Amino acid sequence: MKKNLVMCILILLIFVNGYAIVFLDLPFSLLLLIITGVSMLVMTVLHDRFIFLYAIILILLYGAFLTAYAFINSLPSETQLLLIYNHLLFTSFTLAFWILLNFIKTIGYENDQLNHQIQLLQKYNGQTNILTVSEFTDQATWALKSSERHNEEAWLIEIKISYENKRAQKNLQESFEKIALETIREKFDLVTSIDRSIYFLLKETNEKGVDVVLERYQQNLKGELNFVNPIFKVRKEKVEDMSHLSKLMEATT
Amino acid sequence: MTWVIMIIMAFFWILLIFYSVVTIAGVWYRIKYKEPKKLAVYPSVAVLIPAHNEGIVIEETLRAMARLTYKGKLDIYLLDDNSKDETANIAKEFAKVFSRIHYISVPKGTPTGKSRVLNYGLSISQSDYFIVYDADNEPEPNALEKLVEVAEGTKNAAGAVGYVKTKNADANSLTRMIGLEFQVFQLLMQCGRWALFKLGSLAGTNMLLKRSVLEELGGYDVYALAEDAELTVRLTAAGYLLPVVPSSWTWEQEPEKVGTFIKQRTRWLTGNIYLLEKSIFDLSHWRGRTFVLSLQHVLTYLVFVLLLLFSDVFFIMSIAGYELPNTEAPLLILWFMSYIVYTGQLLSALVIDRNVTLKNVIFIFIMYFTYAQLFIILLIRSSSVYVWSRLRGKTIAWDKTRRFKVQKEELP
Repeated sequence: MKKNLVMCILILLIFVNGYAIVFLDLPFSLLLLIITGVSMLVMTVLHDRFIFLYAIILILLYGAFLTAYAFINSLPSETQLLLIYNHLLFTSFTLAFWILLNFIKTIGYENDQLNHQIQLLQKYNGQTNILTVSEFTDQATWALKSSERHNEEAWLIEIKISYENKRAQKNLQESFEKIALETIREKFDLVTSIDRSIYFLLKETNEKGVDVVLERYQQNLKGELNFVNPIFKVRKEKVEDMSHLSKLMEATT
Repeated sequence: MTWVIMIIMAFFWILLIFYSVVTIAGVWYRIKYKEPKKLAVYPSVAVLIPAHNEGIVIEETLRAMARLTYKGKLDIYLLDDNSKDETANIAKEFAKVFSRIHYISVPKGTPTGKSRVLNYGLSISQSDYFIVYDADNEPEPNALEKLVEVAEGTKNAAGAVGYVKTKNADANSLTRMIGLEFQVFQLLMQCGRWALFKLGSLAGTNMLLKRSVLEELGGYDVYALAEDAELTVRLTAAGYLLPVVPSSWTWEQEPEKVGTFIKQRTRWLTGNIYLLEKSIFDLSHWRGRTFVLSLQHVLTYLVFVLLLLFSDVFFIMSIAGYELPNTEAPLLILWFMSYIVYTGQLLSALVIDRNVTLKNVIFIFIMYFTYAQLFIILLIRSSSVYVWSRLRGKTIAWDKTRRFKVQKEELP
């Protein structure tokens, strides 16, 4: 509603400006009319990235022309004032038209961007790009079904951070999540987090494979963090099906 | 009198044309800018953060530093210059948790200031590159990576400079105007100068440099109050390039009170006067690309403010009924065009940064009559501070900018 109102005001402004250019009878009225007419056509067909560049070049060049004209003809202040009104009319017309074009095109881009962002938000978590819980649950449903049909094992690892100091906690959690993503098999295993626990769902593996992942995870953590003693608790469980997974994750939350 | 006015008019013309061309070049550069290519191997980098009583802001700063994504070896050094507040405790806690964050206590020494602290930071670290961040800065996670990619991909580059955005722009009218000014002078003009003359200038923060280049130039000048501007001139005189990377962002806190703003900018301006004086006696500052840089310094910090002063004097004289000398020059339209160019620059910056709002547009229309006028006070204040200190033969002390607690959850 607000956007519609702004667009209507802009269109009205352009009309009033055009009317003033035609009927105020300022110096260079005809020239101004030709330039604005041509500019409207050019700005409409230009790629949106270049519309403003065109507008600003034109405003500066037209100003330079009027200044040079005033200088060469030694115009008195009263006539200079008329040229200034002339330039102001041109500037306001060009800018209003550019804003209108920009407004229409921005609405289109915003629409695309919002759709894209919604998709991203539904899948990944803020800083570290691990899966959101809902996306994790969705993907786990498929993965567990597949493992069940192929008679393969799936394992859940829970990493519970026990570091109590609040100041660095947020960054610490992000580091744990980031390293988790670097440790697992990309586009194969799943990672999410709830509060201070990180969950890995490892597909088509066995207990030995889980231990290898855990060992690699701890090694990667050592590279990033300074702790000599572990600041997290590990739990690993073989997952039977989706309801079993939900229970395992609920048990800690 | 007529001749004086004619000379002033000539400068007006030069300035108007110069800034118009640079603005258009800046807009063009931003439109055509392409993201740098990824590297096969990333060189090692040391992040240097000079800090003196930064307890209010340092936690957020280190939080942002811990989020930096960089594929090469990265070490972050918090250089504590004898802080008496919480700075050390907060930094030590981060250093305790993260292997790449280090707390360094800088020994006392003179002259005080950022240059000495940075020189110390360089002496205790080892890396191919180093990057400087002010203690109130929150870089975007990919800011460093982009700077390194551009520096490595540009022949004869001494490093690269990024973009400084204002994180408290919405706090009040002053911070909003500073934010808008930064959009023009930190980025649009930088991009324009780079596009036209291959000239970049260090911004004091979010600036990456090759360690070997700085060692070759003998480190930071500890007497320079505007160490970034001073180093830029030396780097350019030595033939190095400083490419501008508009997509590398850091968020910085700007003064929320006029008094703090005047103190900070007096230091910057005094530093630039020191640089002007140094340039007069060093001919290497007036050759090739360095000439453009030195000229730009004179135009920005001296000529522009003097012209502003003259324009104000004429304006007041005409209001008071004094008759101005007949100059045969169209004073009125020249004044109008200087307003159009100034406002056009600000508007261009808004458009390129995609933050055109009604509030911002209203502000840019009044900035010529409000914010720009503050620079007259600044020039008078810094000139008198500088001349007085030279007469007494004393070094001007480093005047630290006061920080403010920002009430926010996350940056946009």
